[in-house]
Amino acid sequence: MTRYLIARLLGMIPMLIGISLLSFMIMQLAPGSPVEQAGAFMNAEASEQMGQTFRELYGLDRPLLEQYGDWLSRLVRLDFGLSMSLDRRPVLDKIVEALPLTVALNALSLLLVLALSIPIGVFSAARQQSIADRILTVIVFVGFSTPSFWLALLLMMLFGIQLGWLPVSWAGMPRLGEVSTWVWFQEAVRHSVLPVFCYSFGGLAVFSRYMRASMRDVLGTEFMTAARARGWSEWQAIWRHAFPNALLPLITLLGLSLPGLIGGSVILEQVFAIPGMGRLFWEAVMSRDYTLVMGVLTIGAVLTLIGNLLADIGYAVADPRIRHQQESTS
Amino acid sequence: MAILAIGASGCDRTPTASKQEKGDASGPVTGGTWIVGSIGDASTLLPLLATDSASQDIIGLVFCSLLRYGPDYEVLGDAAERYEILDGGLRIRIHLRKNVRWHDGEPVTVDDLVFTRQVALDPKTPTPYRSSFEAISELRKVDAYTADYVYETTYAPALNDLVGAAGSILPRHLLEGKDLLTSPLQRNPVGCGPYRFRRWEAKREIELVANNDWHRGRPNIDRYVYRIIPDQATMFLELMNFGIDQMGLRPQQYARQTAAPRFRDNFRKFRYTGFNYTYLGYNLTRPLFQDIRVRRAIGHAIDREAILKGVNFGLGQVATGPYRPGMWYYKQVTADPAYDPGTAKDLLAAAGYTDHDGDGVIDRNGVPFKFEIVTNQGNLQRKQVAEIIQDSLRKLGIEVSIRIVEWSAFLEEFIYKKRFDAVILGWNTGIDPDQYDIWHSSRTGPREFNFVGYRNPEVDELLIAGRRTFDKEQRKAIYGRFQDILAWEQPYTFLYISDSLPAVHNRVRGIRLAEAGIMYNFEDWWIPRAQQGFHHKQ
Repeated sequence: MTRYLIARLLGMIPMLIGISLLSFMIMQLAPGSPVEQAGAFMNAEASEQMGQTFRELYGLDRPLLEQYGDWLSRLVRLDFGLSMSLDRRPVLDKIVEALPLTVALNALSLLLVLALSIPIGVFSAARQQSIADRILTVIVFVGFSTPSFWLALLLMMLFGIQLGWLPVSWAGMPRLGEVSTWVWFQEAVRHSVLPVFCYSFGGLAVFSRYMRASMRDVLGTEFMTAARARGWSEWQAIWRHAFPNALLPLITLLGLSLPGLIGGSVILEQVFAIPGMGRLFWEAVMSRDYTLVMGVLTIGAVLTLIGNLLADIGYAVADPRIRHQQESTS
Repeated sequence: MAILAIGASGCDRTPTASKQEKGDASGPVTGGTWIVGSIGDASTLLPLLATDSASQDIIGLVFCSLLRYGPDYEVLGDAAERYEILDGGLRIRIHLRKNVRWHDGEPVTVDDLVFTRQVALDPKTPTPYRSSFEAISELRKVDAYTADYVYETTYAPALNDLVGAAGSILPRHLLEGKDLLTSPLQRNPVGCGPYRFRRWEAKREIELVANNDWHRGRPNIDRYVYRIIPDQATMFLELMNFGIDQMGLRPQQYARQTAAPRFRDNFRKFRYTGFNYTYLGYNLTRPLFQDIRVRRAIGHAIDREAILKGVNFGLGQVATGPYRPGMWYYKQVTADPAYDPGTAKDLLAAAGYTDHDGDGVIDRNGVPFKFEIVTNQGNLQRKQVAEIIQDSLRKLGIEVSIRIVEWSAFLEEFIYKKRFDAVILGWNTGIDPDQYDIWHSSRTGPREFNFVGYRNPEVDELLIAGRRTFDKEQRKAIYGRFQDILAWEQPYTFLYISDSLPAVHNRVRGIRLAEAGIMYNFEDWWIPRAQQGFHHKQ
């Protein structure tokens, strides 16, 4: 197992280099550059000379591979470089500012999704084609297909303006230090209700349908027939025997959700005025802030690879069949 | 300054406002917090570097400038007490006030002016405003509070420059010998304006506090908060929920969403002509558009009133040239092509375009009249304008296709390389009528602003002559002729000018709508004591 882990971790290195090289090249191929964003054009007072100043400042006047090598050698020392925007702040600072909020909101929504979609999936599978199953199916698919910004605005109008129960957006969130920790915590909860709901609503369908399908497969197996034959009640059989087996595919899904934790929803962050990763990345791409884009992409790539690894490990831990197979091959 | 007409095309329509103002017998008092909503965050808080409007909003409050505009765009002193135009415009003498201080207590002197110009001229400083400093051939220090700005030739936009970028002042004692780009002052500025900087939380808000020692008297409102809300619909909901006090409305919001009692009882909305126009620009290097008759025909075919109504809810004016109505140099031109599809058809026929082969598309020498309009992504109005134009021209047998391209790609692939037939874009217009950079034939290079390739020797001469005199009547005549030529030759079809549509909470007093809008006297705004504890139901 240890050897397997080390092999997997080492295997990630060339993969990461490949991913970053590809991202770096694709990004530079896109028309435009950070120079335009600095106001060098469409501003009647700008000049070609200023564009040149910026290209030198950002190092964009050097060959592409040299720029990439430079970036990579800094990355090895965990230096993500300076943002290619006017403020020239370290990329890491910008990411660290945006990350906690996005991770917290995403983690909360993921928990909510799991808490709701697992029971929904199990129930739907056990009561297949019943009225309740159909109603649940309709609800989760409505959630899946509702445009999130539209739902968000409706909820903001209802709970923010009409009823006045919740804040409209994140914009009025007080700072820690401005108010006591307790008040700040309460405010954080109040400010999170609508975003977390909107983040989760769309995700319900995916997880609950997965759960339903995987539960259905398990329900048809022979050991379930055996369990029923031994006189277990239907629900006992489901929770004791079917459920652990049906959870296995969710491990993969969870592993794949890990990078999603740092990638905020651009649209919802925009609508709720949340200063998170989604907006950071979107704005970085739109303004061709190469270093910031690369920073976010790299962290995302690392997390994706780690997520895959964790999913594989989780699988091995949860499923003895896979564990034994691995042990016999390695 | 001669003002021809008030360009403000509408005014405050909330009947309760004036009644309330009368009730405040106490007169202006200090105190309170004012929260303004903004779509975008600032990028840097140092003058010379800032190019975006969010940064400039804050810089305008934190820093002082040499000169400033009054309510009718008359040039007034700010850090300068007064100015003199000497030697027939070759020298402008500036007398600084002696009581202007940086927020750390140091006096603002001519040394700061000299230093600011040095920084701007340093090739290592990435400033888009270098050309305004380059126009000044020498900056002579007469004494600590008197300076002479010397010009090689008479340069009329100079005064405008000294209100704007060339009038920026950087604190020499804090920045000398330091790298501007890595200076902590970028995010923590020390200025000389009515408000001091307090804090900036990226993508959330910027807070300023009143400067008690300001040379023009302490501003009334204690705290100014600039709150970043990237979505316009959310911003409006925050306004209605009293999370912010002021925002710029979109035409749709102004026209459709302000009828609710909650809005009418709590807010005032204003409407005045903005400093921007939207146009359809033709690539004049394409043979198709070299015939004036063709360009005028398209002008006659486009119903600009309908466009204004359709995409802007009628909140604006039809544009007939590059200038804002209400400015002293604006001319009511007669050569502007009025909406008249019949004339359009005749002009096209005269230029040789009729439907010879009966396929519904007009043609000349076997070549059908087809072209593509390109505009940038993310601006719904421009897309809609393109669609309306497409439809109008289809009726004349002209086949128009539309291409929407993301901004950077749009500049790089279409504008810089001049690979377009026609574009829909907008310009922000300045206060001075100088338009050299957009229309002079020497400005057609890559990355220059005359990208449609307009060349007219008379216009070239006019644009230079307009820079060579400070005489307002002469300039008015020069730029009047310039407007006539543009209206006749139609290198652009000027489409419309949008109104600025701010909404403000009605607890604030002291707003005086003028030619310059409402923000020019923000220091004089005040909030009655009873309503200062207002913030904030969250």
